Amino acid sequence: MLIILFVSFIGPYLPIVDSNLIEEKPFFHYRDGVMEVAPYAPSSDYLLGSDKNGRDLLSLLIVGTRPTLSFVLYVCILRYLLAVPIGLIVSNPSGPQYLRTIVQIWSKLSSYVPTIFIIILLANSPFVLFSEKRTFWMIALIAIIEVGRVSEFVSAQIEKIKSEDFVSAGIMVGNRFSGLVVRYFWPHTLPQIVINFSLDVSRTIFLIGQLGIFSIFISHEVAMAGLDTFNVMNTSITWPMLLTNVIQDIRIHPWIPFWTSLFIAFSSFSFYLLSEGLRKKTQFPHS
Amino acid sequence: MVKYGQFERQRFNSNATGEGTMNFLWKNSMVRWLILATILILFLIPGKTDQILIQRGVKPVYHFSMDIYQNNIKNFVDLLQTEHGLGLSKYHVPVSKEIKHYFSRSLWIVFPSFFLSILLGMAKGIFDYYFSDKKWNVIGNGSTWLGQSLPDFFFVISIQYVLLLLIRIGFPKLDLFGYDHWYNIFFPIVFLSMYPLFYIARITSSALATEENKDYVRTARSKGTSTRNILLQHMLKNAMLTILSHFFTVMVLLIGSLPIVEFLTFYRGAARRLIEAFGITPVMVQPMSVEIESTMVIGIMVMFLLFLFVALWVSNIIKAYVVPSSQIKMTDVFSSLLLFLIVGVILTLIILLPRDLEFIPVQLVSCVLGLVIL
Repeated sequence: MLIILFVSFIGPYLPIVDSNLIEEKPFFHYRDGVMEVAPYAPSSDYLLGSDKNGRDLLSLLIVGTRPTLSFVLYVCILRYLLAVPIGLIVSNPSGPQYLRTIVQIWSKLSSYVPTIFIIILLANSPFVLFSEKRTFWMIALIAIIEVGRVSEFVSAQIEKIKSEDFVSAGIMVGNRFSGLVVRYFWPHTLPQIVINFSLDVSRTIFLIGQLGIFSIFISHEVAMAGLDTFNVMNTSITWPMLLTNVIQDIRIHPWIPFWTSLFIAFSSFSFYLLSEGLRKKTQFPHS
Repeated sequence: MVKYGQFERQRFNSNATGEGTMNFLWKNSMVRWLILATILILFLIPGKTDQILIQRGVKPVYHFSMDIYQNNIKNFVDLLQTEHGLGLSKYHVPVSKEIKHYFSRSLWIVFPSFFLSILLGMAKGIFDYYFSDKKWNVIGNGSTWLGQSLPDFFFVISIQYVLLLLIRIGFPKLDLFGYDHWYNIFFPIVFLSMYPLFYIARITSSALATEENKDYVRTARSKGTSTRNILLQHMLKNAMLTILSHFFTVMVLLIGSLPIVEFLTFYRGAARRLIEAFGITPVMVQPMSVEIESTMVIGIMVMFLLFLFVALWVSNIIKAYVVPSSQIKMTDVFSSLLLFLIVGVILTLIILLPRDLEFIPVQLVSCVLGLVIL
């Protein structure tokens, strides 16, 4: 398991380190001697084919790894930065009760209503759509929707631990709640939180893949194309961007969406593997 | 008694149990944190975004105007009151008529997928559990695990790819996508049920695993109940409650996958119509309009919310029926109704936000490097 973990973990990271240092710029328009029009099918020149502008798909996917994954990480880190403290506060029985209700409602929201609907709606709302700081809003949006669920998860973990005997020992010794948190709850909750985090990363990668298919971009420029129409143009290289025209592409140049979704599936899967591996690892000491 | 420092104790232990240095390194939390921190920092440094600046003559700017917003809301409320409907869609057809049309189409794939994924999922879960102690485990559990984590659009796209390749070789070309023929329901149902199927399989096998530790299982086994089948029948009955409680989650998953599946298989159901109402079309040749079909969007969203609310309560009622001890409290009904209502109202308010853009003339700036190699 660990071997698989390592391999899958390193997989997405190697390309990033590569593009960090080498800064491969894949943009150029190419005309063969035989007047081929972009996009090009996979060939010896273009390992995975090219996109509409003649850019090599493999390079695009590699360069896009970092923006895509860092976006996802921003989302998840923000989510957990907000959710974990809230979860900790909520598990304090002498803490504010209203917060507990808020968390319950919030987490019910993301489990009763499919989040994709909420995201599509909010991402297309004029505030987010036309905002200049759109990237920030998208990150905040996707992160915040699920904060409730994560907070509830954290407090549930703490409840589980509270019932253990060693906690009453801690109380007897005279810890205040904050002391209990630091010394007793946190060391045991942290592994679960990390596992859940990795799972969340996997789900978020999947989510933005879907958003890409719906042309809901993460960062874009809005330019006018008519009197009341506008063109939303993507301004960053991310994997979902390559999926935007998938319906058209799949018929004529299927390699574009195919390889893109393969990359997306692969990284989503490797984070899932990571969470499973971590879970197995944390189970051994207890069995 | 010799006291070992914590560090030394760790090393002693890990080497004594035969674990290598790698594992030791991994266990040493300091090293772990360092690695994690390095990786995170590598990621989080914002990279260069390409400067694609296309400066046209006018630049759209959005200013929120309370007046227009209040106007929108007023118009909407008036519409509800006077027409008892939601106005016309962009095709100049009454919205309520379109919603009925599209929503029933979506239901045609949601319900079969629901039953399919639950029945097949449970079967697979039982299969996984049954063979969990044999070599077949890899196929059983492994495939469930695999199926759960791969995004379903990957399946959709790769299967389309494979089909296209087959067609090139000369396989019969079926009009599998679209909505004209009865067999067009087939593909969406298959794709829609994929993820919930694996989800239920997982729930079933873990519910069965929990049952295994109970006393009655050991009693039955010691009594010599030879066929595991009988055991399964009893265990399954007890595991059913757990599985039942996940039915609603399956429904939520199904509705959540509706947009993507309908979009990719060209199935003209409600979710796809919703996306179209936002101005997003499968072929992004035409630019998006500032105007969205607000009443259409509101109508479809409300229908989905209503559907989920009904599904929630059907599943709760079934649970109450199966397990006599759980009761339906009126407060629960009201609180969930309230939740859905509040969500509906908030969504409506967001949809009605004014979307008028103001155009500010901008000086034509020379195109920044943009697509050219730096």
